Amino acid sequence: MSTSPVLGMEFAGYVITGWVLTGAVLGSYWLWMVQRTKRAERSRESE
Amino acid sequence: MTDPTASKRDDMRLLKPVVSTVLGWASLVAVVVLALFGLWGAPPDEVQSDAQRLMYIHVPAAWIAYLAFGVTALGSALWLWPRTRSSVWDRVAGASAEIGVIFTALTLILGSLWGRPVWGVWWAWDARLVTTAVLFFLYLGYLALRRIPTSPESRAKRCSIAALIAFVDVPIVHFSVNWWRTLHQQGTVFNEQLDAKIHGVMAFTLWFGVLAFTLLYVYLLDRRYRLLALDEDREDREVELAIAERVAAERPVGNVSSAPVGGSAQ
Repeated sequence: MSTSPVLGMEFAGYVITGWVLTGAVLGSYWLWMVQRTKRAERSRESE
Repeated sequence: MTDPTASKRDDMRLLKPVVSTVLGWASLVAVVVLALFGLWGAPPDEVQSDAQRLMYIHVPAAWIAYLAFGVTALGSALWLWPRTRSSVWDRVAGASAEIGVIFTALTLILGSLWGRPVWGVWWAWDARLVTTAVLFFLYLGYLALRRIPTSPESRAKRCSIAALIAFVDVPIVHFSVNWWRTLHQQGTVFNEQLDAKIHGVMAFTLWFGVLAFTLLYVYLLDRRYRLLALDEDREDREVELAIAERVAAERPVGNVSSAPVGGSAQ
């Protein structure tokens, strides 16, 4: 990862990786919970 | 007349659905605003340059880890206390610990991504880093403990004790930078002199990050609590079904044996 400015930002590789990774981890966790909750609610209603 | 299942249904949610939805949208908006300030609005740091932009998520993630494990400890203590014992507290503790583990992992990864350009290394055997890694593994162990099959009462008891023991590491992580002056810098805001070393837009962005992540934490806690409650409800229904099937399977044998032998020939 270069230290020369990319997108007008030094260390852009590290910074963008950190922010994107945080978004991806939290987004995936939220999506996993929503899908499992919907499945559990559907199964509960069907009984 | 009161519905006997009403109290069980009531404790399946922490927040009202409308509050949870509003909180979810508020968290999303706050995180987007944080990204705008963190990546463009705040100026680069004089020493760390743009690598400082990672601090706007690294510090709030560490704060949420402390908060989440604090809530886990509180929920565990309330479960252990006979007067307040309720499955609600066990679920709050479990849900909060899982979120805490995720935010601790993010804290370690973001710190590593920041350390490479600023310190020149991905990892150092520094007191703050090591105690944070220990914290991560302690609560990973706690989550593993929750998955061991046993009765809900026994699981809640052993997990509550484990959570209170694991929480001892939280103040050690926080004060490690004062007790062992190794590579990690002292607190920028909560240092020994209580003299914040951050101002203006940078300070605003950092505080806004703490607020945005706190909103997100409360929202995620509510969602995770709901999922835990639904899973426990499903387990209860599966046990009830298994018992009913067992009873039904044994009933014809019992009827035959209790019937008078040769009764119809008389």
